[in-house]
Amino acid sequence: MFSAIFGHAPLYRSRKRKTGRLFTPAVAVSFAVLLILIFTCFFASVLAPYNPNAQDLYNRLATPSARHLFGTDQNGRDLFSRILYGGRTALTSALGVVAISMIIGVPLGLISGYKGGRADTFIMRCCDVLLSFPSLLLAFVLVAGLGRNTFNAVLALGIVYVPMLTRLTRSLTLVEKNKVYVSACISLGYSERRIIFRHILPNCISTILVQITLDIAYAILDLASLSFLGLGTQPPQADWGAMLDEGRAFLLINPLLSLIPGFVIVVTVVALNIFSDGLHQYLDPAQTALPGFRKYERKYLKKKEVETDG
Amino acid sequence: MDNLLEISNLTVELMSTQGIVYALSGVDLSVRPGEIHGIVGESGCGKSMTAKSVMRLHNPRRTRMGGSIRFEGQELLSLSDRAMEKLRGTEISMIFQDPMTSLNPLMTIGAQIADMYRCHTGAGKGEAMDKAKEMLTKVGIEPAARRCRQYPFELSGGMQQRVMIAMAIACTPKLLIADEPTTALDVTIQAQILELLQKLSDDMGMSILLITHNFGVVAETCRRVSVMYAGKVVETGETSALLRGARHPYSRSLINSIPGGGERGTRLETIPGFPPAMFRPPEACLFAPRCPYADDRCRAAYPPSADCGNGHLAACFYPLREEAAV
Repeated sequence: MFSAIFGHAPLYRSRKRKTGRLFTPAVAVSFAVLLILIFTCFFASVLAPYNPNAQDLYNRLATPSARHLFGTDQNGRDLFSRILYGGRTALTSALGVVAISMIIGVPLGLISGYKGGRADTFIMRCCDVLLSFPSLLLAFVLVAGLGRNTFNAVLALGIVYVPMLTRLTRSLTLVEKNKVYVSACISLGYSERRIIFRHILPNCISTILVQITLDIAYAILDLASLSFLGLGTQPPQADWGAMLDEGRAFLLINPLLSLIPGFVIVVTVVALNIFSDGLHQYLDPAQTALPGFRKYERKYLKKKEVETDG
Repeated sequence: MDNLLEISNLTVELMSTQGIVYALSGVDLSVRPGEIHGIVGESGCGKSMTAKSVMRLHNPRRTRMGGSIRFEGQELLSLSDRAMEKLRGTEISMIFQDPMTSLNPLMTIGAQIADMYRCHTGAGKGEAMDKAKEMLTKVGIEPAARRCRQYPFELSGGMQQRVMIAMAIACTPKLLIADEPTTALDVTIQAQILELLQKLSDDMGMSILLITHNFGVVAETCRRVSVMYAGKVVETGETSALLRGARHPYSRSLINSIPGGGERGTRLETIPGFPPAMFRPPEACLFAPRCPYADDRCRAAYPPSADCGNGHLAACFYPLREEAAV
């Protein structure tokens, strides 16, 4: 799947040729942060010191200590353990939302943009209908209809996110479609499917990827809102957004209850954005970061001088 | 039917915001097997329109086409989209004016040529890559194995055009349409590309429909040439005969406005006026308003093609006599 989408995008380049670099310092840091987050959440059951739902009612709203790294919440549950488990819920659901909207939205946008005419009108009017409702309200209605649990919240948000992605993909497709290389593709006898998926999609994908990483961030927040209203993740299951909302009531007593989940969400979103930006630059071969002259001369020419001197 | 491509009475009408544009009004053109046929004319006279019509690249909702385009006796205008798709690339290929934008910026050139080959032959990856290298060598890009891995932006315009040609001929088409292939290139590269096209045509027995606005290019490469004006072919003939003595006043003035032909110190000849707007062309010779020889008869009806012998046709009531053009 990966190679099908990226085709001959130069992901393998850094090995073959010494030019393009994905991991500039900022990207490396954000990637490390993301890896740590994913790793800790994935191995929450091993890393967490407590059961996230075990209550210790004598020890409620405790401040951070050696026993409870981040303190405890209003029911005496260990906040650190809940952050780990909550990350699991938040990240997987956000990814689920984005995956659903991408699988539906991107092909629709490509078809709509490339085909034009009736197909375009039909798809775009459907999007307008979806967009005419406030997105959260629409999600409420869908969840209320489907039954309240995490999976349905993910499904509902996934559908709600489709029109935005469809529109973005469509506009990118419209730009690409009018470039000469697409006419060249047609005149070389490529089939429509081949042109759309092998030539237009890879040229749009970097922008779509950026949008998708942004969508992950939005999805985390929207899922939190749904959880807050009792339509998403059901208590006592841990979830960053739900924890942030729960902590609100105790903001004056123990602000960490809200601050820590909020901070984790912010870190995740920022890391995602920096990483997607780096990926965006890397996927565009003409933008490949070459070393500056000074650095190049310092690094390579000096070495050569030494060699010739010796 | 000895002609490879036979266009007769082709009309193309385009929908625009200002009304219907009669872009082509009755183009007649034929390309013989193995020959390089030139189309010359000013900007906006329908050269590229004709090429696009052969490939059927127009947006079907905004264009109306009439007349007939026959390729090896097969009518292209009534062909299904699927059948047309099969024909493109394998039987007829096209290269474009601006090589910088006609390659996919995200694929290495080797991958693009290989992709083209795989698309039409269903060959495996390795085989297609070998073919790509072979094609690169054929169009003079060396060393192919290393060049294969480069992206379009790493190549110069001339190189990119060579890659485009390599893609277009990878499946050995019978006809290559070259839409101003050298306009974006400088003169030395232009000569190289033309030489390459000529060599490929000779080696593969491939016909080329070469569109240009440069009579010099035509003189060097084409066996026959058609001069277009305002959506019509006004004169067709052997290149040498036409250059020596054009029969149509328009072709004559076009040739006379090439620098270098006249005496030193004289002003270069120009054609007064502009080509007509194509919204509602009158039933008359469209060149009449700019023609020094025009009379009432020219303003009342469109002249039929007069045969001047040896396949030389000129659409004029008063074809000029053959004499030294200068």
